[in-house]
Amino acid sequence: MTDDRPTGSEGADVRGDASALFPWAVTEADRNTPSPAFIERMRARFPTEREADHMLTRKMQRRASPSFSGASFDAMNGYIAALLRDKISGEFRLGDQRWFSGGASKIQMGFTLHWNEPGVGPTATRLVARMEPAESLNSTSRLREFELLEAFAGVIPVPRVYWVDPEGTWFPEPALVYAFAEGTTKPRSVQGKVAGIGTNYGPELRKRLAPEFIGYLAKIHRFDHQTCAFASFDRPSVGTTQSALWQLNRARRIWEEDRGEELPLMEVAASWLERNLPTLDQVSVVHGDYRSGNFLFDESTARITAVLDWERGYLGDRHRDLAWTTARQYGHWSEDGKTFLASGIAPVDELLARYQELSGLGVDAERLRYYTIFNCYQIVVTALASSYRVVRLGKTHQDVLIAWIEAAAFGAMEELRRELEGER
Amino acid sequence: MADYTDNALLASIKALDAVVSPAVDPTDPLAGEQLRLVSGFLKFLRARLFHVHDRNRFELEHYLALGEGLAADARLASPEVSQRLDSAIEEAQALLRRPRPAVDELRSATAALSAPISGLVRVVADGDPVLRQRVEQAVLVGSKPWVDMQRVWFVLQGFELHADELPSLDEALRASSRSGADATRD
Repeated sequence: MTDDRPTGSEGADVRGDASALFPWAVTEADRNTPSPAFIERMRARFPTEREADHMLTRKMQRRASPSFSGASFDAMNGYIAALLRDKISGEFRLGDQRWFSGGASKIQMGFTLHWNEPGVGPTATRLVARMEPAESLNSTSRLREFELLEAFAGVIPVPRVYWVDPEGTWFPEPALVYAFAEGTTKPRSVQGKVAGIGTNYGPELRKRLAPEFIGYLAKIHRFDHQTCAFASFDRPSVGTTQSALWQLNRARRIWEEDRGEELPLMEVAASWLERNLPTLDQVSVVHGDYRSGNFLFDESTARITAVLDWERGYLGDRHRDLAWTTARQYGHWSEDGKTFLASGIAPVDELLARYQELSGLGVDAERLRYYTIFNCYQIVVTALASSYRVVRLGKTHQDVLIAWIEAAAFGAMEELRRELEGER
Repeated sequence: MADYTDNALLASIKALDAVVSPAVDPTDPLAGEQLRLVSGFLKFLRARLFHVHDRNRFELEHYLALGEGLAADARLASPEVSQRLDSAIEEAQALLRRPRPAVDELRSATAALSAPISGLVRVVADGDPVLRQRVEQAVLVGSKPWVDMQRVWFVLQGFELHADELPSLDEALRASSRSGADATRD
């Protein structure tokens, strides 16, 4: 990490320069082969959390590097072995390597580690190595994911986390090694959806999954973040708009750095979001991607076995999670064709009512609406801008999947448009 | 004449689904997933290939209508934005008068129009609230046919939650943005 990161007030000078505001002040060359000056310009114009800034800066510093096709089993074995040689003592052996699909951003390889585990003795441990591609759909932090998985062990079901390589010391890119968790993201009888978006659990299963799904979200938001060091997190001030501004600036910066076309509608949305920043009432751990497809369950018992994908986590406003979990993009209509099921789990009103009972935390309609609009903006940023740039430059092992996701942007864009038009 | 391009796409889809797919290692889910997506994209391309030119023309007409509707406000907001917008409007009008402009010309003219419109929204963001509201409203209302067309264009990929509410592709491509943009100025 660098020490010269921007703080919440340093964007003013750049914003004062009107010409820097114009879309033509950023070219395709700036985005494809960014200069240090361009990177600094983006950092200064969109101050955000230190770790988010660090990951975005790293992304841009490496953007001009060659395209990426993935890693072989042999290569991954080598990276893992290099990490283990420094992290554990004694002999070890890797076996049963296999690729995992299902995610939309990271390279995931399952393997079994035969080793002499401290306090356990000789054992075989099923693990998952989760590594960034050269540039991901989401430039998120493996360090944060590691810290959150450690913090929530024993609080809700999460995979046990073993080691992190936050800067790509042993792996070519940042990586995480955690325990393989048993379970499935979808019923066996259902065709898998891209990234689990819109998974239909069916009437019986959804009823049985709902209590834990909602209860674990309540526990995440009730978690006392003060008990953890959370070194890679910034803690926003209660009673201010700082938290919302950090998130907005992060999304706007990505839009500026990644997009392939001008969309005036997105400028209207950014302007509205900046004018209507909500005040934070309480700092919560925000999971960041709590929805269908991002938890594992046992189909026979309908118990959730692991909550996954903590990479978008941060400390801030719980309404961001609530709006994400209940977003139109991640749910589907029930069998009656009239009731929308948030994350395929429960009608929105029911989910929010149960969440309030379980968490004891209020749900403020105005803030929920703000984050619904923000999330639509974020989805368009990811699905249209980052997807475009990542695919154009061939930065991942699954560009074709990323290209497929671009289509998901337009439903969110219409919701964004309608919400903003509706209030005038 | 016989459509050899469509035939080739049809044959490619058949090859992937009937020959390549069974030969892919079933223990490699990444390869299986990507094969299904490639086959899906070829099916998508078959359904959309012959509308590509119409889509690009639609986009230019959309931004032209939006730009024309905002030109007077651009003059109030910023000489630099206004100059760029007026010049892009002239270029687009000239291009659309030609019988069959090429796709890359349509795209280039569209980009030339969308940039000053985005610039205008940015410039008015911190200025006169009345002007800002007028500009933003024009963009919000005027963007509806554009967003609808994109939703219809990509509906085959299965993300659309309200597919039954969407017009057909032909209807979406025929929809004019002009009515929406003009409505905000009445």
